Amino acid sequence: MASYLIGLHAGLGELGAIAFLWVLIEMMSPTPERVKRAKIVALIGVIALFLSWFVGGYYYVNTYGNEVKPIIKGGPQPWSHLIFTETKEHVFLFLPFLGILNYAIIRKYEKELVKNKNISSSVRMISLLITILAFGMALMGYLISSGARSALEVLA
Amino acid sequence: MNIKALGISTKLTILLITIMTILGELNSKFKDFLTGLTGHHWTAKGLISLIFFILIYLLFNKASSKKEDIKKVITVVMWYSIVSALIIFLFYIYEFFA
Repeated sequence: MASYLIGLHAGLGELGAIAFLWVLIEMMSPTPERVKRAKIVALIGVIALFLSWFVGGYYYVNTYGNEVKPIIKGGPQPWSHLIFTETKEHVFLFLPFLGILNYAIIRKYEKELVKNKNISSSVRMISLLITILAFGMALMGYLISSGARSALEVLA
Repeated sequence: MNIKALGISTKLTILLITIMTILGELNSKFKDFLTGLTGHHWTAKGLISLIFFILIYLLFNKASSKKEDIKKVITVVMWYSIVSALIIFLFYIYEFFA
């Protein structure tokens, strides 16, 4: 039942989260070099979030729904699917769009970011939101895995 | 890039995802309609969101002013994101206990 796609999905999602955490830190005291780095890291974050979406989506549609979901729903922690999978699969969809917005701001205002505190604080805020949401996805992923494990223990 | 248009596109896409999510749970015909589009309701939601995001950006890219208040754009998008995520989470908690 365990699939390498889960690890790949989680790894890419974490990469996205860490990338935007990195952007947040670079924007705490922006210099031209830090802004340049933040722009590259934000682009990596956006790509990672999109790849995580596609890999996770492939696994969710082709494996999870048929093999894992019925086991969790029949196990001792059905809430892990009914609350957390359902929330995760939909709130996750916000992340790539928030990432694009963040990257676009850094790219467009690359030169102003060093002096304009309004823009740098905006980039920090959106980076923090992306980081919290993405790590929230990881937490929900853990709860879903825990629901699957507890169901398998009952079956064993 | 027009950040004002991108902000409008982001907040409306988040709103659309939230509406499709809840409507899909409350109305089986709507969920079946989404499933009929791509074979799975979740894939349809993702694809519709992506197309909607691009279309709304293109629409507002022409219409909106070039004067951008980045702080305002981000504050609005953040509120949409936080409230929408909470609505989805609380909706599924309610569904579980109902």
